[in-house]
Amino acid sequence: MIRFIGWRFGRAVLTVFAVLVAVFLAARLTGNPLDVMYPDGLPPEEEQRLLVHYGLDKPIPEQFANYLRDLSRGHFGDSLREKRPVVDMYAEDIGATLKLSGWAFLVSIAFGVPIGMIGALKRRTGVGRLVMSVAFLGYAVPHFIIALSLILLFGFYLHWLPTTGNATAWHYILPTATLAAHAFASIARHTRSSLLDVLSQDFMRTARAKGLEERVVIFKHAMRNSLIPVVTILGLQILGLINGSIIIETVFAWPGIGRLFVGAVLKRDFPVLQFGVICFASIVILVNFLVDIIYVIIDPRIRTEA
Amino acid sequence: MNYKTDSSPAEGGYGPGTGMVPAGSPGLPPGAALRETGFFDRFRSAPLSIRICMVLMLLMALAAIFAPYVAPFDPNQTSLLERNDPPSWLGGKSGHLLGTDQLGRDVLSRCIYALRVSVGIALLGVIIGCLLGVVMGILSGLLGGWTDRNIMMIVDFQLSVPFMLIVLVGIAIFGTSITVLVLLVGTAHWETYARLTRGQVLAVREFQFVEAATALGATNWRIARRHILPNIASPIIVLLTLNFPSILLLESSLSFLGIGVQPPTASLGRMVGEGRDYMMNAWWLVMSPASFIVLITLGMQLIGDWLRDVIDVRLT
Repeated sequence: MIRFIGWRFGRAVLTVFAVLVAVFLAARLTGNPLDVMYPDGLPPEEEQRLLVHYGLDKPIPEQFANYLRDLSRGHFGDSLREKRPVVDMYAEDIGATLKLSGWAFLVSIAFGVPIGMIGALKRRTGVGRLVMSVAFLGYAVPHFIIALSLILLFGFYLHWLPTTGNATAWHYILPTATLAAHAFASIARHTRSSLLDVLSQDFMRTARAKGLEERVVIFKHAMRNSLIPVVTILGLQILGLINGSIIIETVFAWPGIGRLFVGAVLKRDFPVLQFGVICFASIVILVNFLVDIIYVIIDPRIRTEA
Repeated sequence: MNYKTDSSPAEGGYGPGTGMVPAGSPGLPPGAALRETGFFDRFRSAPLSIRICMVLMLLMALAAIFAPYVAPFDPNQTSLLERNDPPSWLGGKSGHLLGTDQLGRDVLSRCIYALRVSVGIALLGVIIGCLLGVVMGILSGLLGGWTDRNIMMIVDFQLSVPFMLIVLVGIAIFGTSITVLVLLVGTAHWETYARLTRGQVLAVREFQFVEAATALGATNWRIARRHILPNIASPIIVLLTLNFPSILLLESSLSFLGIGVQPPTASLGRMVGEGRDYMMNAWWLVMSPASFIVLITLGMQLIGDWLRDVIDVRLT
C-alpha cells in the first residue's frame, strides 16, 4: 500500500515536472520568447535590455536551471498587461472557480447517481428511457450552447435569473447547472451501466432467494458494488469541470481563473498563461492521485502493484 | 453476439472472422461485422432512430459539399434594410427561412457555408489524430522497449492534462490560423487510437502465424500492414465516429471564444459567438448555428454509440 502510494506520488510529481518542461520549451519553440510575449515588436535596445533582464541571453540549460530555481522560490513572473505578480491574480480569482466547480460537482453527483439508478432499475419503462435521453443530451450538447439556451430562457425571456457575475446566490444557478450538465450525464450513464452489470450477478439472485427485502437487495448489495467504478470516473469529471469552467466562466462573466486564462490567451499575456497551465495541471494531477488512492481504499481487490 | 463469421465469405488475409483468430479471444475485438455484411443490410437492421441520424448526416454532408448550390442566398450579401429580420415562419418580412443577421445577411446560407468550414476542420482533425495515433501505436507495440515507454509516457501526459489547456497555449504561441487550429484539434484524441493499436499489436504479435511470418523474413512494416491493420479497422471506424463530434465541439468552443476560426471565415461556433451580442433581440442568430452543431454532434454520437454496440468493441 505504502509502495503503491509512493509510486503513484512519484508519477504525479513526474507529470507536474513534464508540464513545467513543456511550458518552458513551448515558450522557446518559436525562437525568441520575447516575440511571443510582445507580438507587437520592440525597439532593438529595449529588446536587448529585456533579453538580459529575463536571462534569455544565457544558454538553454542554464535558462532552464534558472527557471526551475525561480519556480521553487515562488517567483512565477508578472503579468505583462497588469504589471503585477500572476500569483496574486490567480489567488484573487481561484475562489470563485472553486466555488462554482465544487457546487457543480456536488450537484452532478446528487442528480447523476439517482438518475442512473432510475435508468437501470426502470430500464424497460418510459421513465427509464426518458431520464437516460435527458442524460444523453447533457452529454452531447456543448457547454456554450447549454449556457446560451439557459440565458435566453431564464435570463432574457422569463427574467427569472441573473446571467452575469457572481454577486448573489441567484447568480450561481445558471452557471452551476451548465457546468454540472456534462458531469451529471456522465455519472448517470456510468451508474446505469455499472448497476446493470451488478444486477445480473449471481449474488443478486442469492440475496433475493434468501428472502431479503428488495430495498435491502438494491441498496446494500447492488448499489455498494456498482458505485466502485463510478468513483473512478469522478477524477475524469474534475478534468471535465476544469475544461468546462474555462468556457462557462467566459459566457457568464464569472470572475474565476478560467476567464482569466482565456483573457490571457486573447491578450497573449504569457506569464499569466504559464502559471495558469501549472495551476490547472497541478489541480488535475493532484485530484487523479487522490482518486487512485481512494479507489484502492474502497476496493481492496485491486492489486496495488501499480 | 453480433459476430457473424459463419455466413461470411472468407476474405484474404488473417482478419478476424477468417478462422485464424478464435472468436472472443482476449485483446482481439471481434470486428469483422462491418466488412462482411453489406452496408445496406446493416442499414436496414439499424433501429429507426439510427437510420434517421444517418440520413440527416448524409444531408448535412451533401449540404456542406454543395454549399454554393444549396444556399438560397449569397452568404456575404449584406442588406442594411433587412437587418435582424426574424425567420420567415415567425413573421419575418424579407422571407429568409432562418432570418437575417446584424448586417442583413441570410442566416441559413451563412450556416451552410459555416457547416462546410466546421465539418472540414473536424474531418481533417479526426484524420490527423487517427494517422498519428495508429503510427505511434504500431511503433510502440512493434519496437517495444525505450520507444514504447516514451510513447506511453506521452499518452499518460496527454490524459492527465486538460486538453483545452494544451490547445489554448498552442494558440497563444502559434497564433490563430486555420492550419494551426487544424493541427491542434488533430492532436486531440490521438492517444485513443494509439492505445487501441498498441494493444492490438501486442495481442497479434503473440500469434504463431505472426511468429512464422517473422521467421520467414517478413518485415515489421509487412506485419503491421497484413496482420495488424485489418484487425483494427472496425474499432478505428468506431473511434473515428465518436471522436468526430468531440473535435467539432472543440473547434466550435474555440471559435465561440474568438480564438478559433477568424473572420471573415465563419464556422458554426464563430457564428454563435458573434450572435451572442445580439441575443437579446435576435435569438435566431445564436440558435440557428447552435442547432446545426447540436444536430451534428447528437447524430454522430448516436451513430457512434450504435456502431460500438454492433461491432461489439470494448474501448477503454
